[in-house]
Amino acid sequence: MELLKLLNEKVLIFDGAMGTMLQREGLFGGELPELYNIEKPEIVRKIHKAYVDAGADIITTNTFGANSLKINKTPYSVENIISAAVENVRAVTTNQLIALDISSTGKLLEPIGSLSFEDAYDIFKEQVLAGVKSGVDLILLETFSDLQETRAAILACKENSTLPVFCTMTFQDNGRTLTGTDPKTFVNVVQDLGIDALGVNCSLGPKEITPIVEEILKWALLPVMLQPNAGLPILENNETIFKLEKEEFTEFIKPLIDKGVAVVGGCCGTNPGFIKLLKESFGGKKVVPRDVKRKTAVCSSTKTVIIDGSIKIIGERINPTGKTKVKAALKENKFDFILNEAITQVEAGADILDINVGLPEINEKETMLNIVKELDGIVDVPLQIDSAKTEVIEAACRIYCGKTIINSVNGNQSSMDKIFPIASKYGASLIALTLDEDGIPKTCEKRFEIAEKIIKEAKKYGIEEERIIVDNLVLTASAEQEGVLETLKAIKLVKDNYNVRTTLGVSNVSFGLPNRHMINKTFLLMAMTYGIDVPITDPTATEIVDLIKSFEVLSLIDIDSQNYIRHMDSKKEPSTSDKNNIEKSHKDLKSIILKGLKDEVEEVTTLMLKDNEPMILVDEYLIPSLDKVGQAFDRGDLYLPQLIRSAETVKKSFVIIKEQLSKNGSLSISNGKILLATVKGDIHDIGKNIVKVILENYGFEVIDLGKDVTPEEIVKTVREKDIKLVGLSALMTTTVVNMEQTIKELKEANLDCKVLVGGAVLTPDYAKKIKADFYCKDATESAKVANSIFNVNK
Amino acid sequence: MNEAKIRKDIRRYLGSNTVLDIVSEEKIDKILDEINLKYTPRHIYGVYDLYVKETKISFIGTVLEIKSKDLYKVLKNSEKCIIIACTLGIEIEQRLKQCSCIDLENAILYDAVSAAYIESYLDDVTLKLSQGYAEKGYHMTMRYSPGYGDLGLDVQPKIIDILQAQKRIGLSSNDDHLLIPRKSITAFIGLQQKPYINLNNRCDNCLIRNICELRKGDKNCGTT
Repeated sequence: MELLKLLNEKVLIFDGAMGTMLQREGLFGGELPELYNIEKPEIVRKIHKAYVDAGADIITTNTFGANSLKINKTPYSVENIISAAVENVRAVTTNQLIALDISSTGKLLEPIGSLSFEDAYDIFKEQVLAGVKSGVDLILLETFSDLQETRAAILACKENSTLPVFCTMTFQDNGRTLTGTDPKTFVNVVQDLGIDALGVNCSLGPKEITPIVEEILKWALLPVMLQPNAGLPILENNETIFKLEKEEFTEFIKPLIDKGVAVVGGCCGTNPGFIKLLKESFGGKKVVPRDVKRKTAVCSSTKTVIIDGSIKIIGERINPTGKTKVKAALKENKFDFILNEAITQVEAGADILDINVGLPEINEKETMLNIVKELDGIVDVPLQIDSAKTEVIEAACRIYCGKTIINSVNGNQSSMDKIFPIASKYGASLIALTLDEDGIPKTCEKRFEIAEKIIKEAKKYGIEEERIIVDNLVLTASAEQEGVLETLKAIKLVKDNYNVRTTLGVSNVSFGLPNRHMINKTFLLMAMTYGIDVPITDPTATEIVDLIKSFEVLSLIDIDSQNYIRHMDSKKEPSTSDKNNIEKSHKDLKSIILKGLKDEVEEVTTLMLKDNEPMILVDEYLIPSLDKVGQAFDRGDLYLPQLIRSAETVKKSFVIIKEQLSKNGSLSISNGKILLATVKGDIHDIGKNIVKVILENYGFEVIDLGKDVTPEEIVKTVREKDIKLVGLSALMTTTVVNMEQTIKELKEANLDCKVLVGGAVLTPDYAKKIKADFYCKDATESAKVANSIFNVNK
Repeated sequence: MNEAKIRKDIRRYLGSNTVLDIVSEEKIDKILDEINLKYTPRHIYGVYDLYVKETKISFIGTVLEIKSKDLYKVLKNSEKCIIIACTLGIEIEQRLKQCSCIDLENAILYDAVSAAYIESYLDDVTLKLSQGYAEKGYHMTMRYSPGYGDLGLDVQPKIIDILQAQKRIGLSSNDDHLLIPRKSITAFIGLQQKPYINLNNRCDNCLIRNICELRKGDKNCGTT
């Protein structure tokens, strides 16, 4: 282990390709190279020996894909393979270190793929434990392209071993990994997870990889490691080959060593010759020091927000406190509403989104995890985890693919004792509230004292000042008028003394005063002049973002007003066709629905509600127009996009009508409950979603179980919610069998419900064969069936 | 890219064989621009010598052996076979997901456009390959994908392993052997000395040949 003490002092040399060498020895395409550890150990040892002779300091085990997903299909266990692999290295090494090689499971993680984070973690854990047992010196995580999978692997290493961990990802020619992570985000997310070195491997050749390595060197506080391919892959005579010669390879790497790369080796296409030359050129050279300063970085899986200089906005709208619609959506599990809120805030200019789902009636942890998972990829901005419960914070930090902000910790010793270990483990930043056992102090000096206490305590956990965002807690001006200025002065005080960032929940200031928005805006402006970095506010509120952007112009943050101009330009962009249509329409609800003028329908519905009963609008406008659109669709006069455009127009109108109904104290419209699901094994859900919007338009309450739904879940829901009609969708012949199975289980459970089926591969005959009650060729037909079953006579 | 074919396919997926309404067409233009600009389709392929005995097809130098009457019909005169995989990537998958929670109309359009796009991308790649192999005296067979005829989807993970498609282009499959990301295609293409004549009616290879509504009306879906 002496060698590891040299890490970041002297350049260390890793070995080169294993796969390429095994192919030369006769490995078949699609054959598991890891089996050679047991079946042909002499070949594996020969290759390791060649790298030892070439001068590599660290030898990597032949265990790239030695995970249970792959190995369980063979006669061996993961532990068999790994212990044999380690033995093969040990047999030929002298004082070289042994690195346990771990790469991707080969499956894509949720939400796009089907492998859960915890399952991925367990798979890696098994490998790590086997490596520890076999006595490896370090773990090399390499060729990862999914940041979430990388996180799972790192956590598995850190929680199941004390070994040093080196971690490299593979990037594409567009400068991102295959799942969209850029080098800056990769570095910022993984470097506070307790690893020892990070960098790039595989990807491209050393020439093409250069800009990526340079970016990593710019951000990495840890030693940087590099293992490129021998150029880009070329197919020649039925074989993938890498053509770059070792001299050129080394030549391209030299400038990167000069910029501070500390560990170097080879990936696909390299051989012991490459490693020998690397050793001769760079082995034992002093690592060139870099001057990298820690920044306040917050990351999603694809984007890093640096809080430094310009004002960043934390969107506050996903929070049930005082928001009836959010509350209702959370209670009814209507995630679409929450996702919509997220997208709207991002479009309005939010840089980070605060997520708070604290409602006593719901399972906060489960809801938080679902939302955090689902939002990955739907919005690209980082999330801030906001909860009063430690277990919710911990679980969300674990699952969140990024580098989050925890909202919040405060000056209470118990709060710090609970929250700091979580922030430290998952690399999160924190919002630090300046309150303690005695409550919120009145003066700015006392607030500063608490901030100072938190900052000092955080340091004990290795949490640097840059990861702390102090919230000096503004009180409402109506009750504590003199406190407002104290809060503002405290911003300056903490920033003058520490390299922390500051935030405030802006809207708190205006409780109890008329025209709250005016007070909020003015307070935000004042806070910005006092140096606030990242206000928590509602970016969709009128002029909030404008105010921030113009402040940045006048305070010399936005040089040449470029951001301001871009922001103002982006505010005007109605599509020409929509605009023309709007101008031409007669503001008549029927024609608005027929034309699908989604942007106009809300205004007209509201207007018409002044003179009409809500149900008149439904019965005389919405439903007849929908029928007409449906008939035109049946005739082939209009096509699917138009049908959906009209249906979504009706949906928007419905939202307003339902609000009116509930204001009037009338019961909401429900013609009956219908369960919809895409069957097990099928991941296509657009067809089902089309049926859903049409059924909702006709006043049915749709319980949407989503896609890939098991028969058990469907039966259970039908029983629990007393559902009379189930709609099943399947798009592939291979999944129609699961549709048949679902129907069978529903009938066997003796549930009094009918089943309608649809999907590309179904026919009326086939539907009959699998004992469905109804076959619907499209969404309008399903509405007809539903109307007849629930006796809706419209 | 064959713009005309992409548009024809998009309209077909949306249930139309003529130009759509102006709003839809404008949106399709925008989505096509976005895909061209933002998303990177990727492909990877390998060429393998074949050993064909009865309906068992072995790909030399790999562990792959396939039993399929229908693939045999395509490859029976081939010496070599190209195995190819392509994907439009994960970003489009996320875009689709985003659309389906805020704008179903857009989701439908994105779905149709991206499906037509990746198909056309593979057409282009195949065309280029066929030109290269023509110079070497080879003719290409039709492109044959898992899921056609009796060729099951369970071959997908094997294709992915052989081509190292997960590592190289980010393509994987789930437990039900569906390709992830979804806008992806894998296929076999034979290389033979004599010209290839597709003796099969094109519907013969189709998965839904027995239940296809179009065929009953003596039409076809236009897929070749």
